[in-house]
Amino acid sequence: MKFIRPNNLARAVGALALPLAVAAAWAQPTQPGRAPVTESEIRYQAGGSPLEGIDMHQDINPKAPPMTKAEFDKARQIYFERCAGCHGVLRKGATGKPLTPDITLGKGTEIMKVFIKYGSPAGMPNWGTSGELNDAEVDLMARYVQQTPPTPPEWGLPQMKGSWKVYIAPEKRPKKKENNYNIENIFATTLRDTGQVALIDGDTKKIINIVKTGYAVHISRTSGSGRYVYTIGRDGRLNLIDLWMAKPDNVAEIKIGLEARSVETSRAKGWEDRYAIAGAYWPPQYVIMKGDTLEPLKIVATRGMTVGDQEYHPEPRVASIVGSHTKPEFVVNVKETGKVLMVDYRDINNLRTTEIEAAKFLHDGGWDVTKRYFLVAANQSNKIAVVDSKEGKLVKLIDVDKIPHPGRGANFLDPKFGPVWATGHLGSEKIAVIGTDPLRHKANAWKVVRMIDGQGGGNLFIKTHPKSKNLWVDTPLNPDSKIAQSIAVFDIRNLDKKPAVLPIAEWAGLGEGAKRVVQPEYNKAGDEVWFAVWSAKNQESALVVVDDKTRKLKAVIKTPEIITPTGHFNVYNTTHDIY
Amino acid sequence: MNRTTLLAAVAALAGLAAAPVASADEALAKKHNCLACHQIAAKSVGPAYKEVAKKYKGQAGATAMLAGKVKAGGSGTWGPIPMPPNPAVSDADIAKLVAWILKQG
Repeated sequence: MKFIRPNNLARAVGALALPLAVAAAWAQPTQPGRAPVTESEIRYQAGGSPLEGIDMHQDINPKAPPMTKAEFDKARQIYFERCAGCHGVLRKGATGKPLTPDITLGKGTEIMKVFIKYGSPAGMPNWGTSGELNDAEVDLMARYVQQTPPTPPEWGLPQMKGSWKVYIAPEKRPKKKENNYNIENIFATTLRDTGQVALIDGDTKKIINIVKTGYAVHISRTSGSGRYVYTIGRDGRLNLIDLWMAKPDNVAEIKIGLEARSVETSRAKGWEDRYAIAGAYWPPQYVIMKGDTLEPLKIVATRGMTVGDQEYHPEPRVASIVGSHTKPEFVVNVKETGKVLMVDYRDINNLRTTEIEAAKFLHDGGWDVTKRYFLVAANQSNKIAVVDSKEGKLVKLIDVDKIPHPGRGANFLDPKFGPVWATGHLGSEKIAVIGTDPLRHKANAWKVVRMIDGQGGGNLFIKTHPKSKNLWVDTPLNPDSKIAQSIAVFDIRNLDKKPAVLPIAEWAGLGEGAKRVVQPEYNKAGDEVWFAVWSAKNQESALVVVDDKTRKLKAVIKTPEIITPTGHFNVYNTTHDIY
Repeated sequence: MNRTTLLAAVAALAGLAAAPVASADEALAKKHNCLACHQIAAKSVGPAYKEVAKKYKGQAGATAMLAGKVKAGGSGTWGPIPMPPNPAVSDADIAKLVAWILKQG
């Protein structure tokens, strides 16, 4: 059995984090003293992998160019920081091309060096000419990718149980809420580089508690009742926070894999808080747990055949998971196979799963306003897949622009086209608006009814609220700092009009820093929008609250504890999937 | 429909070319990894073969010069990205490849 070396785990802090299945976007290790984001890192959308420090099995391929153990270890670390996100842990290819020795040995070191150093028009970043890797490192990586890929260990029930801790058993927890917080208006805010979540009182804007979590938390979800918060780090550590405690804090914890992105909970009527589910990048699997203790109950591998060419894929990563509000089902989106799994959790010992063929490289997505249809991005396919959760069927694959990144997307009533759902794009300034009402607006349903222009590419989140007429669009990964530090806001009643641009980072009144403005999130009432202004670990960051109606600054939350804030999730809106 | 596609269609009808079979020299280019960086009609990591053919068409000594570049590698003509050397490819194959590339223009 292999164990994780704690000192190496600590190194994984540099890896990234973010809400929803956004990881694909967050490509910047924010070590102090480093330029926070470079062009090549933006192109490397998948971000680093915390697997760099894990002991792995490796055999020596006699045909591969020789490497010392020290060279191999260094190259392996670089591979997991820079390459695995796109090319995969086992190098079978994902959004990047396959790099298995049968291919790389045939190409040879010199050709590999050209690609690594200069990149390619197909999307490979120019790691050499961008200054990220020096010539010696380029040569090292060119030789490394000709070795047999080392395999990280599996992570089954014994390993999960070994990592599982219940700090406060359910019977010892409060029987009713023991604090005076308006818990529906709490914001769970990821503090990415400190491995924490800040619970912030949305009414008073004061910090309630800073809770220790996994590294670079990727997403926080709330249970069906709104009582519990589930928070998962990129390192696979899942924490359960009880909001009923006098001072809300961790009550249970488990490590569900070596690398993970998604967590969700059972939301159907009668099933609230019963189960939690978490999806791993490595090993490629998901696990269903008891909702109030995180006891692991059922692990399901996602390895299998891809859609279309129906070829075996050894590491189909779980990209995102949502729980249906209307049926006892989890919707599990598997990236490499391009399949949406509708997992019926009524009987987990005799598990029924409907496997829906969508398109390869599924990422994240959200519900339409009726919560019957789920719209998910197939990001490197430049498509949005629409799944009918009632019928358990694929409705449509819709072509959108380059690398759609919906987060959850935004639902609103288009004055011309009726109910619509919108997504922004990482790869372009376009915002695709898609009709979602096949009953009363049949002609517009599942079509891009308009493409509107935001500030630029590098968008991660787009947001509105049923009570608002504003559509907020962030651009934190745009290379132009002016664009990354501001927000575009459209008037839904007149989408042809150019958006207003608000200098959110400037309003925060911070010193030096990247100050990327990320993730608009509404409060419970729908009259405030919160933004994170995210700078490096050694710099000042903040949360900025804007009045939705006047679009004017309402509050700035900055304290020494608010370090590298990224995603922030309002309890009520998260519980009810309001977006 | 131009003559080539017409011929291809005729051949396909006759059952002779079920798949768009590449020429023997294109197969050679594939075998020696040329197509990892080059495409016939579009710029990729390296220049398109059509562009190479256009640039050198009818020039005396182009064949020998290009053969030398394939063998020893080079950079600067089409930008900073270097062409790696290919010492393992035989002179006979290089000659066939260069002749084929120059026909693409």
